[in-house]
Formats: sequence, C-alpha cells, structure tokens
Amino acid sequence: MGPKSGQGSAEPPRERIERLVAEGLMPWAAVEQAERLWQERLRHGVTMPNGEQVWITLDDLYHVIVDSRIWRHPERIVRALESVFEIRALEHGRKLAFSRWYEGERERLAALVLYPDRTLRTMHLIDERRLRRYTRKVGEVVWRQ
Amino acid sequence: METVRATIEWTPEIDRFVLWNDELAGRAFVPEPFGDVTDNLLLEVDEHDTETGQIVGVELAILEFDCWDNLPKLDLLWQLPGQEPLPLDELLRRAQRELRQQAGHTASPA
Repeated sequence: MGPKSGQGSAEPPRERIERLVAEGLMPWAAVEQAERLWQERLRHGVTMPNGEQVWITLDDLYHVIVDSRIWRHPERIVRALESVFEIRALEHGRKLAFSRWYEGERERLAALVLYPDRTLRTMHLIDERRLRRYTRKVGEVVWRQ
Repeated sequence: METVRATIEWTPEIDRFVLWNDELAGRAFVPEPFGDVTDNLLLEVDEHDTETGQIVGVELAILEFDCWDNLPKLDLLWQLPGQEPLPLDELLRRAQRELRQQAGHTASPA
C-alpha cells in the first residue's frame, strides 16, 4: 500500500495519517485519542498566556501528531500552547512562539509557528540548544512573559 | 548514494509542505532550520531525544520557497512513488513547478 504515483500523490495530512495507520506505522488508538482531545480541548481554540486564542484545525492536528512524542502524548499540544513564554515576529505576519513546561521533573520546550489568523502552522518539540539558536536568530520579540 | 522512499504531505490552503522519508515515518524528530525558521530539515531523535543522524523529512513553504542556496546538500536520493530517485533540490524544484501549477500560482518558476 502507498500513495498514488505522480505528483498528484501529495497527500493531505489526514490521508497520510490514515495510510500510516494502515501500514502499521502508527496505532489507530493514538489517532482516536488525538481526535478526542481535539473535540474536547482544541476545536474551540486554546488561549495562550498573552490572552490570544490559537485555533487548531483537524488538518493541523493530523500534521502535528506525526512526531511520535506527540502522538503518544497529544495533550502536549495543549500544554505547549498554554505554556508559551515568548512570541517573536516572523515574515508575512507569522509568529514564532516558544513554550516551556514540566512533566514531573522533566522540562519540555516547544517552538510553534502561528499564522496571522491565529491558526497553528506547526509545532516542534525542541531542546535548550535549539531554543538558544532560535532566539539568537529570529526577529523582534512581540510578547514576553 | 542511499535512496529513501519518500512521500509528500501538502496542505495547499496554507502551503504547508513536507517531504517525508517514509522509511522513518512515525518517528520522533527535531527541526534544523536552513533559512527562514519555517524551512527545516527534520532530524530523527531516539527515545533519549538524542539525534540519530537520520533525516525524517524536509518542511518548507514550497510555493514561495526561493532560498535554493540555503538548501542542505545531502548524501541521499529521494524517491517518490512511481518516480525516479532524485537529489533533494531537483525533487523540490520539480514539486514546486507542479504544485504551483496545481495551485494556479502566478510566481515565476524557479
């Protein structure tokens, strides 16, 4: 099984997830858990500490959960958005948000790219070294906790 | 040169494009920006969050991407279903042409 040949094989996020499940590369239970989280917590938006709400479409969800550290723990999407501590301006009105939270004693960091319409383009779990590199490199701070 | 089985994920409404190494689908990864922070190599990490040296994918805004000089030179060929294996830049340039046509994009071709 696989996507169709030709450039038309570019898959929307949902089709890709369905294929990965069919190929045994992701458990369907993980997708269902993420969809439940979306129904209960994400579909109405999540408020960041600066008071702005971020909207997550189902396609955004399917895009983000391909990282196994997120499909195993989809609640990290909510934790990341609720734990944003700094937002920087990117080109074309996009924003880069940095987030930090704790799971027990373990610190987690994430970088989130937000669109001007306050939807989530992507989210990556990162480490301290990457956070330092991002903050050296990327534009003006528009909000900091 | 190693060839990896690849697929493309694309959300045309927001030009969110990822070229995935499907042999590492479902693994954990971290971003390695190669230009704008939205253009990233996605590097596999293991259960200790340590980089393994494997490339899980490449994400960028394909319709607007023009920083070809920033694209990393990888010792890998990428093979989409039904197509010949290609170096990263060739595959992305071809994908850009075709997806721009599909999207009715008016920018000049790369």
